[in-house]
Amino acid sequence: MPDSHTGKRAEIADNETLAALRDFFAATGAADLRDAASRIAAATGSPLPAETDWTTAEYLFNRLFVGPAAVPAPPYASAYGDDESLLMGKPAQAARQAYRSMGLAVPRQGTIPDDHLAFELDAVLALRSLAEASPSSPAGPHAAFITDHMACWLPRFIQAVRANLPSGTAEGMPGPPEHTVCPVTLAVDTLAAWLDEETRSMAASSPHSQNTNSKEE
Amino acid sequence: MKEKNSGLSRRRFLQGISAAGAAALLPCRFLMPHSAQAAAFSEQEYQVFRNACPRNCYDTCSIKTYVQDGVVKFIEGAQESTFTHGGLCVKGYAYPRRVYSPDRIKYPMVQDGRRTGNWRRVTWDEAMDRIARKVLELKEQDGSLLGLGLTKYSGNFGITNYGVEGMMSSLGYTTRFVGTPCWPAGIDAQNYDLGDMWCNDPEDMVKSRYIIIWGANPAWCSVHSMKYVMEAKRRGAKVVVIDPVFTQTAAKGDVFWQPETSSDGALALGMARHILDAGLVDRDFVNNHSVGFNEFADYLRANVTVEWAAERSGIPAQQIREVAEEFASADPATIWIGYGMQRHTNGGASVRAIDALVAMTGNVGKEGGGARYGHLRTWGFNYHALLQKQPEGAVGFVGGGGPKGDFDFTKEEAAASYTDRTVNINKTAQAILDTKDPAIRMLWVSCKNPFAQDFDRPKLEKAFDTLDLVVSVEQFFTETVSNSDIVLPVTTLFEEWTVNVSYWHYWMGLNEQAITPMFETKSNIEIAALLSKKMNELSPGSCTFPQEIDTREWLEKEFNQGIYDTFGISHWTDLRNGPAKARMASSASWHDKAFGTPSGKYEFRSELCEQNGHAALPVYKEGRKPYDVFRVLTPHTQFGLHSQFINLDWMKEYNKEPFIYMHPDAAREKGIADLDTVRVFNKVGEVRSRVKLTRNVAKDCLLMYEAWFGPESTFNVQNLVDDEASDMGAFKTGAPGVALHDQFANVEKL
Repeated sequence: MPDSHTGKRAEIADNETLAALRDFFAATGAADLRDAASRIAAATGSPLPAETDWTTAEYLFNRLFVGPAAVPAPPYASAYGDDESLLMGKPAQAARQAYRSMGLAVPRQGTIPDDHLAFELDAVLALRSLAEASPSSPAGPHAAFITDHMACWLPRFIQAVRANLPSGTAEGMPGPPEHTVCPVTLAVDTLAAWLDEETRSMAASSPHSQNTNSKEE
Repeated sequence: MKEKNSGLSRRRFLQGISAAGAAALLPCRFLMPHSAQAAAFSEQEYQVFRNACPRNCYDTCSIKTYVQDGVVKFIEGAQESTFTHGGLCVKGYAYPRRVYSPDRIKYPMVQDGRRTGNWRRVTWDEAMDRIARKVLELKEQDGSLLGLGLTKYSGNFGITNYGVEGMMSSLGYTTRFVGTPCWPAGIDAQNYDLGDMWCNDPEDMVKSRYIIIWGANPAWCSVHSMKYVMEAKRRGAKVVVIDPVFTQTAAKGDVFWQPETSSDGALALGMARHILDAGLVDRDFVNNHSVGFNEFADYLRANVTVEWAAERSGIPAQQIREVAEEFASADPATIWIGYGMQRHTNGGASVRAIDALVAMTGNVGKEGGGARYGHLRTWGFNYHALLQKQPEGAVGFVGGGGPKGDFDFTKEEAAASYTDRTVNINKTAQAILDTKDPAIRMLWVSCKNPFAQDFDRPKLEKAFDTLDLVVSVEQFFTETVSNSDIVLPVTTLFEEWTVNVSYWHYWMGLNEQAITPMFETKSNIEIAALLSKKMNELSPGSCTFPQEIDTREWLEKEFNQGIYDTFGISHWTDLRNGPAKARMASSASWHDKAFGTPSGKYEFRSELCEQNGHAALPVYKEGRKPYDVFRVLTPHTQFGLHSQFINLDWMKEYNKEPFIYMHPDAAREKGIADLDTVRVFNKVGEVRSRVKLTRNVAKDCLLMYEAWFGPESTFNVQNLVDDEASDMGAFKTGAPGVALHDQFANVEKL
């Protein structure tokens, strides 16, 4: 039952952190990034340097996730499918079905792929809310969405981000690298920690999930 | 594992979920309550849409698109078109990989400093505000909009895309890059000889008894035409392929000639001389349907011998005699004149010599015959999107006029006191640098990737650096986008309404919007409408383009009764049942021998040609003098169309890196081994790449395929191609072509 693990993952996996992560990856500009990253920093206790250049952060964010140049770390599950590195592939359909099951859909369906990271984090928040609303229901949907879906692509996404992050001051951050926390680094580290805790706690709580997980690793 | 990644077992997920009614209460920021349940969607069902490839290719395929739950699942060639015949080329089949590529340009963005890679997202409104303010500033400072340039060509065909030109007109009189890098010299040549460029239906090649494919590689560039060539061959026709490169088409021919590049005119004239000597001239045709044949014959007797042609071309005299005799004796016989062979300083003259060969053997106006080059006979649309009016009081260029390119459909316009200012599209860089009073300060780029396709790339970068504002409308991040300040994301064929016809076959295909435009992409005419809205907001009356448009209605506005009659349909919606073919009295162009020339006959001697500064007769014209050691050839690659498609993963699978192809004997002399990295350099610039040794190219030739782009490569053949003009093109397309195969360079091992 998820409730028994709440305390364990409270630090990183609270709703506020998830919402801030969601908003970070949905950012359209420097102001959005600053707002979301500040919330992540506050929630995780990893303050960002006051002198962070948010326009530089925006350039980096766009280089990694948005474009217009080819993006090394597209934030869409379909881009990490084994057989198709295309958007709107089977993972996007799976996400669409998951949202439909909750009576939800992405806005202007067909424009931004359903499996954009921000939508998926939004869905996790919805699933949590549903689980809290009916404590008698099993952890199935929540666990399935994370372990069968998000955990299939997020590790590769996180790896792609980390592999393409410029090192140290090349990020445009002042000061020596060891004292620098880049907003993208903060967000992706927080995302990785959240995924790690979620998958570990779910594996511990469900023998059924354990079997499924063994195929993924 | 595959099953795993298709993700999320529905059964498991659905377990325990019963929240439909409560969706509105969930703590979501983005996801919205949705009433349709999963059950409403059947996985077995597809919606089928009609699409038409807009890539300016011979084949202009009719496509059937299968959509499920708003997603393109797969596409295939339309079976209803006997030309497309249910199949697409590799590029066509890759379309779903284009529309769903993670690398697509998704949002309007601005770059803080060209080539910095520092991009920020902006809203469409912000982008249009910056653009409109610049347009108004130019008008204020210059008193006209001639400082605003448009360079657009055929990268995104579809009749409604002429709305880009329409948008420019709706702003005022601007500077247009006119002409065509593609086929202009040949167009002029055919106009002088025949009175128009008009080819037989390619499907009638099956009737040919003898086919010469001269400077074309349909096995790569017109795959659907190959079935007619092969069927003719199966029925007994002989197929001769003439090309400086041993192509895949050559491999399928009976005879392959690898002449000296740009010696085509000499070769054709040598054949003509032998046909004359052998008494194989079609007397009925030359006596009754042509003018100037006797003068042409005199020219041949006085100036041309088969031995001379053999010496010029490198093709043995005996072979020239044999093929000439066989060609003249076969009935019908045809020549497919490729566009590559006219991209020379003597290209127009060479096409005229080949036309003469077809005409003197009586093969013009004959089914299964013909001097096949192209046609625009099925293009009788309204050009509603194109024909927009300048705002009241707009000031423009005085003393302009003339055609604005090969696809210029504005000629019917009444003479205005002002016109656009025209500059040569084949000298983009030089035109930007040279044009003054007012200088070009703002450039709009659409349906075109100048940095991959325009000549003298080093000069182009310098020229772009003089511009205040560059706006690119694109689907992918090209080097041109990198050299822009603003990029606007444009729809793919699946995301817009339009209609397409071909310049080769006679089919027309509807292009339906099959899916919702992804991200924030907009079609060219929607972009024009947005700009108009912003212009009028800032300065009422400054733009005449409609501010609200329905793209489906705009498609409808392109049709007229003439088009319906030509294609035998009663309404454009009939095209939903499949593409339609033009109804023709004959599959042969000029079947009634009523030529479009001033004399109404085939003109071996063209006074018009002479008036325009060329020889009246199709005489031999010397090619460009080599300016370096090796000839550089930069033809189309197999799985790309210029720079399009080659950035897709499927194509990269086949072409992981660009190569320079070189003859092993030449390589040995230079101490170069297979797969060595070399530098190819000339007066324009240099290219570095690995070498592949092959006897498919001549010893004096370095071949590299035209386009390549991607973050990992700076390879660009336009670093080696200058902007030397070809002989013809100005007459019908507004500017001469470019001699892009008359380029030379040296090579060294690195």
